[in-house]
Amino acid sequence: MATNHIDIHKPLVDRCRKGDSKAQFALYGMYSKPMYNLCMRMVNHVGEAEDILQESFIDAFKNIEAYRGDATFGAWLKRIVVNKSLNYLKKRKLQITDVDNAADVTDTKEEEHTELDIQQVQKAIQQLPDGYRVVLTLYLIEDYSHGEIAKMLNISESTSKSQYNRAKAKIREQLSKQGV
Amino acid sequence: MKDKLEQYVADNRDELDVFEPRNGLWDNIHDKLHGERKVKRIKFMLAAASVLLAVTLCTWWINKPNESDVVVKTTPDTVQPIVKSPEVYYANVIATRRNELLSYCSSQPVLCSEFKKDLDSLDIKYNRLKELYQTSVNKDVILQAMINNMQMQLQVLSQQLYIIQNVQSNENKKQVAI
Repeated sequence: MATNHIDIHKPLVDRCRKGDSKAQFALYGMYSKPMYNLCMRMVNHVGEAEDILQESFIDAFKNIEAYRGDATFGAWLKRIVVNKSLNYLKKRKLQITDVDNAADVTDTKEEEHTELDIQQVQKAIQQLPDGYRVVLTLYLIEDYSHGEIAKMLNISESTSKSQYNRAKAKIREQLSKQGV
Repeated sequence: MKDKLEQYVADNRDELDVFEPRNGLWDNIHDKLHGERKVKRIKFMLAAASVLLAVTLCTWWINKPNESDVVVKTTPDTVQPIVKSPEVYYANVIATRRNELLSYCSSQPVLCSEFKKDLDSLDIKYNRLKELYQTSVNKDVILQAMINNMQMQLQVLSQQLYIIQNVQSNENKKQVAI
């Protein structure tokens, strides 16, 4: 996504403000795939991911007036998708327990694997338990900081870090099982 | 500093997006955003069309010539040659207008099919009159009714064309504005 070009979609967004369906479709075309994949990583369920995607675009276009242009449209939309995904996870009673010692998992096995395979990494992420997967997705893939994640999930920053390190350790474990 | 896994994910970020959203999701979004408004507009146009048709029918009913007028105007011997040409004339004009209306069918399918229903019902009545004409002894009355029916079809067609052209030009204006 175009993080350095805040106004890149301004003409399209302006047309969306007038309810122009062609402009809406153009933005949907650009963002539906990354947003859908974000949904899948967050909730790991096709039906729910489709619902979240649709609800997010409907909300975004209905409330486009609330978009002030201080972030990219993509970042604004992503936040809507993340919030909706978290609401779905809450219904599922996702609980991330606080662990104080964030350093209890260290990256000792870090350099074990010489060759990584993106499909195996993708699969390993998908197989993580909900809590690990959500934190890893938000930090590693969607570039949110541990501070932001802590606020979103209502956990401490150190818990976010420890969850993230555990998630990474799990992925490495998975990858070594798969013989990568 | 990024470890190997983090660096690898950062370098191959796009390849992690392996899922494609199902076709048809956009249609649901579009319907939720625009569907209701469009249905409302079509309902309004149909209501307007029905009112116009009712008004046209009433006007025709009030102004329709009575039997005595017909008898005065035409004698049995001259009926056929005089009437034949108006019949052909009206049939031609109706066919042209109908084609004009049909040309809007691809862009205005709902309005078009409603309009066709109205026209078809008039057409059925016309054909019934035509059959009657063959057997009736009171041919001049039937002929007048046939001509009235065609005039009626023309009036309805003109109103329908007026409506459908207005709807179309409104939509075009919208698109130009876009």
